[in-house]
Amino acid sequence: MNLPNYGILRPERVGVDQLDAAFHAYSGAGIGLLQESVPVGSYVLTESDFRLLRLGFDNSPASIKLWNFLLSEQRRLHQACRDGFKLVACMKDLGTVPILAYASERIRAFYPDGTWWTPCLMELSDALFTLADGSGVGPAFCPARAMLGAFINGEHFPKPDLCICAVGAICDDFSAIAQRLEHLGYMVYWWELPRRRVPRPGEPAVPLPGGLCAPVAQSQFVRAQLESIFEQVRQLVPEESLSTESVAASIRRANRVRRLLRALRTLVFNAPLAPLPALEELIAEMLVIHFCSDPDECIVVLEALLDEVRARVYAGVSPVPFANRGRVVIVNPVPDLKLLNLIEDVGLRVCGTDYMFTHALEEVSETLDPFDALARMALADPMIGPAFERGAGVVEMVKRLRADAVIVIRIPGASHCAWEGAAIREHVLAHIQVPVLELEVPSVIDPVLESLKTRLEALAETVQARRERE
Amino acid sequence: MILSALKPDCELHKNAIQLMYAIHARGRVCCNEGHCSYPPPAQANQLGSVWADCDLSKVVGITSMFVPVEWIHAHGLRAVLVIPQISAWCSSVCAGRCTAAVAMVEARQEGIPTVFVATCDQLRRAFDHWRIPGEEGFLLNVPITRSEVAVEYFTSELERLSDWLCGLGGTKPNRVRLLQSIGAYVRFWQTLSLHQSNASASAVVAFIREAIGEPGLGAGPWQALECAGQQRGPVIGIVSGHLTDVHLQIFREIESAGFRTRLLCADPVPVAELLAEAPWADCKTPADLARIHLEYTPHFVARPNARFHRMLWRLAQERAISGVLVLRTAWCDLLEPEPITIREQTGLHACQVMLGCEPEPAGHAIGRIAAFVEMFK
Repeated sequence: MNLPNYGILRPERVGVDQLDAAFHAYSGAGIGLLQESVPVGSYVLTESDFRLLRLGFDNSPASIKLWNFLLSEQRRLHQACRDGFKLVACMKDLGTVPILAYASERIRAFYPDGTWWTPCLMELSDALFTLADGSGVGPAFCPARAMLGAFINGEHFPKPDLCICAVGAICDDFSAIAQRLEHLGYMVYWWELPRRRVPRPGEPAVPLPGGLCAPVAQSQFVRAQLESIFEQVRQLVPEESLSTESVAASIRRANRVRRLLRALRTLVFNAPLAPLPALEELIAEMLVIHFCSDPDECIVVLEALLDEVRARVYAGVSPVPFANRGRVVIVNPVPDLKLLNLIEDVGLRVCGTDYMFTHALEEVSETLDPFDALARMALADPMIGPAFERGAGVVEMVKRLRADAVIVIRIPGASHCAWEGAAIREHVLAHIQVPVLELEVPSVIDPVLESLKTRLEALAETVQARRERE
Repeated sequence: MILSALKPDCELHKNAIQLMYAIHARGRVCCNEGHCSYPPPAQANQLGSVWADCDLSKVVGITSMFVPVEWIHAHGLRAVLVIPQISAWCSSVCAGRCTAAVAMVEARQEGIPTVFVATCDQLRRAFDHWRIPGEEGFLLNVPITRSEVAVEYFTSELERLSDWLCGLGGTKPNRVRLLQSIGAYVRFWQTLSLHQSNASASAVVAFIREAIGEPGLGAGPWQALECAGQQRGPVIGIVSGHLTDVHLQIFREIESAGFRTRLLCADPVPVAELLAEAPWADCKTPADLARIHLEYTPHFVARPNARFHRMLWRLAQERAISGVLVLRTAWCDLLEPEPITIREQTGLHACQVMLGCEPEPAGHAIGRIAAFVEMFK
């Protein structure tokens, strides 16, 4: 098997200038993948994404395509608006409602939640936090408050036709922010994820994706609400005759994306050398929750990435060969993308992830009634259950992927992080003897970079010493 | 007499019962008809006979206004409000944890079986974090949204709570017992609603702490409650998350500084005015109870929470409130935007005092409130 870019550039982690040079080299060689792409560095000028200047990127064509797909979402949403598509802003459920929305061909669904990375990408030049402050949502909140600023200034995504927000067993931060949005005049359709509980002995229960289970009463509660959400979606596009079969078709398409991502993760996490940097792996995972507003293109992007990774594994090459001192599992997404570069810089390799949406990585049942299947998927959300269940998932991942350590990312101000880190640490230490490092990571890590680096180096040394002892 | 002329359970009959309760609550007449669904006051004061087979000395702690005390009482158990003491400001705040949530789970060590609610992330995670095998705590899933399916779900949660209460020695209530319990509390809410509007925040909390488990009180405590709010001075409405000993200390300090306080919304104290208005005559099943407690407990955690702001506005008018003080423990995200939202939605003056960033918050609170009052004077 040939590497798709072999003979032009060897796999490497590079800065944005070199990435743009690679883009021109590939374009000159007529690599068709990049037909609609632009140099990633151009987003620094057009979107003020200054953070790109400080990140290290995988230099493959598939990676350039991936970054283009991610960074062009705002432009694509505006274009969709102009083309008469209806926009649905899904909030907080991370993976369920977009499947309902994409039952329609005339709807584009997106997560305004994603704006939490805008202060990072724009290195705080966006002033979104300041806007949120002015609306009563201050620094005690997690960076998701940037979403409120984005709604207020209207500069980051078009005004949605419908906002659908999950509440209940979710972060208080997000619930409060979404309520502020409604008070500011945005129509929000609320639905509820109950705190998942362990069924009592003898209580009717349903199995959930990922091996958990939940009481039937909870499954029915969520199912009824998903049916109501679908009714909202139907009303948005009355010209289409959406049916349960439309939802089933949407589930099948979502599963195609999930299968691609599963194949990608399996290769990336298990190969002897990391065939893809942690940063691009994170971006690929992020696509799965709403397909970055374009399910069909999402499949193309992931297929290209998977081809690249397969070829690299076959050739035994890695863009980050220096990440070989220890294997780590990461829990929670990183507010600053640069941290993933930093983890690799100290020699650690990310070989397992729980970025808060593990339920969106599992295939949705295609044999159950579509609403039942989606309800079960929603209930498998790792954030709505007891922390020990999430901890058990981390333990299983560490064992399966032979990880040497766990890094729990602490998001400043996030209510779940105040409790979860300690709970996961306790659970991991009670079941497997691997080091757990809890790291608080702000939206821009530059002021604390050296401190974070020191802590990560200490972890790498600990892991290495343990490996040598064994 | 009028009731006897009406067909039982017809609409007019129900309305007449409601009216009778309302009149009775104002102390004008007593019900001694034999057709009521609920016992007359004379019987309500002798609840011991109805619950003769139960041990009312068994208590259950409740941590939220969403937990129906009628339901606990119907199981033959006595509800008490949990108002914990904060013992560790610094460690909680540094860890990003809500000090009230920490205090509440720590209060479990007092040995009272307690019903917690999952209305906020901090509390549900605190409950999980300190789960002790075999200890007697129950996490009630109270829906945040308001819909038919939410009522159904809350009903199933009340049934689950019922099983837990039975495990504590309670008795599964039959229809009669449930109606008896509801009847006792209908009068309690209605009488309380009349007295609460003039009573200070600390008096109301102290009264409800004592009385909520024993709804069939004599006249004495009520009169004491009414007398508790006779000071002069600007009237400050209180909105808070879960009350702790520090909140109570601040109430006392504010009141002794010459301000009148009125409790608007503070867990776990129910808002009697609204509960008193609920259609209790239709309340005969756990599902009816679930519906009433969801619909007549406006709260800032509900989504949407427009009804909460409408309630604030209304109570502010009825209690002649000059401004609203939001007492928020550090890291309580749900309350942080409330001052600005209250100003926007109700037109009321609102200010916030955050608890948890200093060891002696009362002095700071007084300073803030004095400045606040100066502002709206």
